[in-house]
Amino acid sequence: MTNRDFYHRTFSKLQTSRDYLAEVKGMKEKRKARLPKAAVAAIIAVAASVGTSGLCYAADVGNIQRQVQLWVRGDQTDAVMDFNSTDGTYTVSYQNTDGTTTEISGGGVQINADGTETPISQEDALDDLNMPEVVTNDDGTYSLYYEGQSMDITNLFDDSGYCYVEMKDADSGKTIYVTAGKDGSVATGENRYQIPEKDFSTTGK
Amino acid sequence: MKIPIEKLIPKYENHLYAVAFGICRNRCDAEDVVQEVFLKYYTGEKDFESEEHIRAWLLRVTVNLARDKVKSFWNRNKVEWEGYMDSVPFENPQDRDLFEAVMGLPEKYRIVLHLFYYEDYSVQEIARILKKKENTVKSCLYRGRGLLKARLKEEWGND
Repeated sequence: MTNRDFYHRTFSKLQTSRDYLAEVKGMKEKRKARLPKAAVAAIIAVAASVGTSGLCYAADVGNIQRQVQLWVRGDQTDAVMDFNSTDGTYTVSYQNTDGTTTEISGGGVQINADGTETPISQEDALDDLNMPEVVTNDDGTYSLYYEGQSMDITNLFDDSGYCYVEMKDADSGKTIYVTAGKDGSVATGENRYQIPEKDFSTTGK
Repeated sequence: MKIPIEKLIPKYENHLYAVAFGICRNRCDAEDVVQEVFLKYYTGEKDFESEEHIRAWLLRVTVNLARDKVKSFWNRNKVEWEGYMDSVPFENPQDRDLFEAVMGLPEKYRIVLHLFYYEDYSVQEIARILKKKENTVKSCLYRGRGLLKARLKEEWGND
């Protein structure tokens, strides 16, 4: 038996028993639903301008399809948004520069202060899509994108995996305070940084 | 291209778990890392050139997240692998010895040995995944093997 066979035999016995599919799908919905309201307020002007320029029509019962513009990695991009007002879910698709199409699904319920859940609105969904975004690059570095701005934040994270940076809202010129996590979570505030596990949670705890 | 998450998870979950465990040496932390990797894949917009590209990306992100996990405040000095070893259904005592020997190595050797012997990557490919020089990878592989040989003696071959 070769060393490689020996190693394979040994480590193939390590088996995980977690239901990742259910957890990952569930976490995606929770992240979308747990955006702090401060974040929505911070970029509402952007969403409003997007909303009025779009072309709206009913595509299906409960669904509204609409042309919107999104910031994708620093570039403003034309996209089509299909929003279901019944359950608050949406699908957005846009064409990349190489001709391929990217489709993003998200939305769902919003958890209110009293613990009840309500479907998010289309404006909330647009806010959600235009939030700052943390991207893990191929080389393991991290970039933060917001509207036309980008920043290398690889060396800014603290021991908890969060970093705190100021960015500018292009329309209002106001500073927004961005808390970005290595896990891709983002929260913004108009007047101060949002504190993980105090002002927001990404784990459901 | 992107493989649907429903197909990706069953195919890669145990591979990523083994890599993450090799770094975290803790079951819960390793499973948290794997979950985070799949979440990044699922929610990300990255477009991949091939399945091999996806596999390399998954392993690179797993290594990076697992390292972050180990470095974080709550995980320092928390080692659980000795107890966990009793729950792994090894086929024979030699396998348990190998597991114990690998887990006792410094992290940099564990990662390289695992990618070489378990994921069957070449030195060049490991260097690309870990963003390290080939000579650094070769050196880790050489020293890691030497330490395993010293620990396992005749159980570990000379190939």
